[in-house]
Amino acid sequence: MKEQFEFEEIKVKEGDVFEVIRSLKSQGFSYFLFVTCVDWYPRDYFEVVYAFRNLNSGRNIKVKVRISRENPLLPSIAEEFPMAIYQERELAEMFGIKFLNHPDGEHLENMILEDWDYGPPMRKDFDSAEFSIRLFGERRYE
Amino acid sequence: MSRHYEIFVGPNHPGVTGNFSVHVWLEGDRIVKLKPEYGFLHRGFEKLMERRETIRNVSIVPRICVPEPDINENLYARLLEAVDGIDVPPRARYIRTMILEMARLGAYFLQISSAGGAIGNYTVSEWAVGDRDLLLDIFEWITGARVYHIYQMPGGVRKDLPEGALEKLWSYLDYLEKRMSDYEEILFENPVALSRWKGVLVVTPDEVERFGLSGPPAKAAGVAMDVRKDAPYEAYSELEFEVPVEKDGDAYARMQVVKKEMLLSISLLRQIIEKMPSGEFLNRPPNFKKWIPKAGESYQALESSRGEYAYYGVFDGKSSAPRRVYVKGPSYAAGTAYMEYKMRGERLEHIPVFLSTFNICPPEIDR
Repeated sequence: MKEQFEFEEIKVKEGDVFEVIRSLKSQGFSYFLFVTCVDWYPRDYFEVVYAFRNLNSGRNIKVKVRISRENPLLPSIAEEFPMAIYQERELAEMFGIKFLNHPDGEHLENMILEDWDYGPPMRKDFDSAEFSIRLFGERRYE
Repeated sequence: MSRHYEIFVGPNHPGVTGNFSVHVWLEGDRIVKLKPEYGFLHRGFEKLMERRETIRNVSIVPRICVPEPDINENLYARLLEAVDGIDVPPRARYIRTMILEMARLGAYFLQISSAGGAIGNYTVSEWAVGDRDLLLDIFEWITGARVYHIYQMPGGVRKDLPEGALEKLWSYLDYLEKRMSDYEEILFENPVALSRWKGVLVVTPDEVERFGLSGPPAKAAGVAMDVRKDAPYEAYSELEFEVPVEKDGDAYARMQVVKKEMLLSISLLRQIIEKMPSGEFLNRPPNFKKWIPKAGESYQALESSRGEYAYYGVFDGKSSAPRRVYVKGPSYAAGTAYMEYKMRGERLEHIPVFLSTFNICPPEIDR
């Protein structure tokens, strides 16, 4: 089946993310679509996906980077793409990824969740059903 | 000497579109610093979708966006169709396009309602909600529900159009066309509205690109980007239309785009009614209980009332639930970094104008 948007895809190493994205921006991929993270638990990596569009040519590109689940660390691209400030804060909160050189500093948690100290909830090994029973107790409605 | 204030606008305020609050630092009535505060509507949809069987998510996704739920149903259905290679019969594609355009109209009614409320014009708020109610009657006639229709599903739509639905919609469009001149007078060309909108919060094409804006703010700035045109989905490639564009980029231009979009939706709906093919309305997907979609990923987008709304989904081929579904809403771009940047140095009274003309939908940010 034909895809609605054709995405070119490049896979990069953790250390090259910032340089690759900056060079893509200089090639015209300056419309930032999104950045998100896919947790491949039980395998030991996250796959972070960046997506950009070139508004002049209409080309789309995905940049994929694999980072370790134990110590996830990425350079922040917020300097190049202001919208990433919030998207990266969301990733920090939901997946526990740390971002270097983020404009809001090192502690990026507490964007959406308030008073949350139970670990990043979007990770696959965070079981939300089990968590709610642990927090609120099991209730049965007859 | 000017006084310094620190106040919150929202989360409940007639000028705020949804449960969303803006933390403002003021000097006199000039904004020194602004921080959007959201999270009031965080319900963990993306996490919830990863825990449920694929088909059960069909009833979860419309709840992501309250004013315009159908776009989520459509995207989730198309995501599964793209990953699993399911074909959609032509009649279903047309019915879905019709539902999407009706949803756009409904969402624009809520937008002009809040745009009126933001500048103290409450008459238009009441009118718009009233006219939307008549549209919801038609939705109820077709789908059985008023707000969350849960109508579009992988392979087509849940049930066929009831007899007389198209005629009912046609006569509603007749009514609406007459009604648009009333809206023109009371809102779009109202002197009070003009004084609040003209030359206010001007968006430049450069900002559109830099901050990832789309929809009416981009079109008002002269950037003719529209997913319906750039990457046609459903039946849009068979319909005739022009992308409405303005060039000033201010709040007035954005509302003019909204007006043109409403007229465009009316014309598209008429074309759809005329071209509506007969035949199957659903290409039955596999047994739901045993359905495990193939491994793969896809990015599906559509033009919502606020801009490019998209789902990025990843399936691993082992479990029925998606590995990840990311919801990309157009308000994420406009309501966060762009708002923070744009409102610096503006006046306090421009906050409701910003929120209503950009039609910020906080659930897209919270999810």
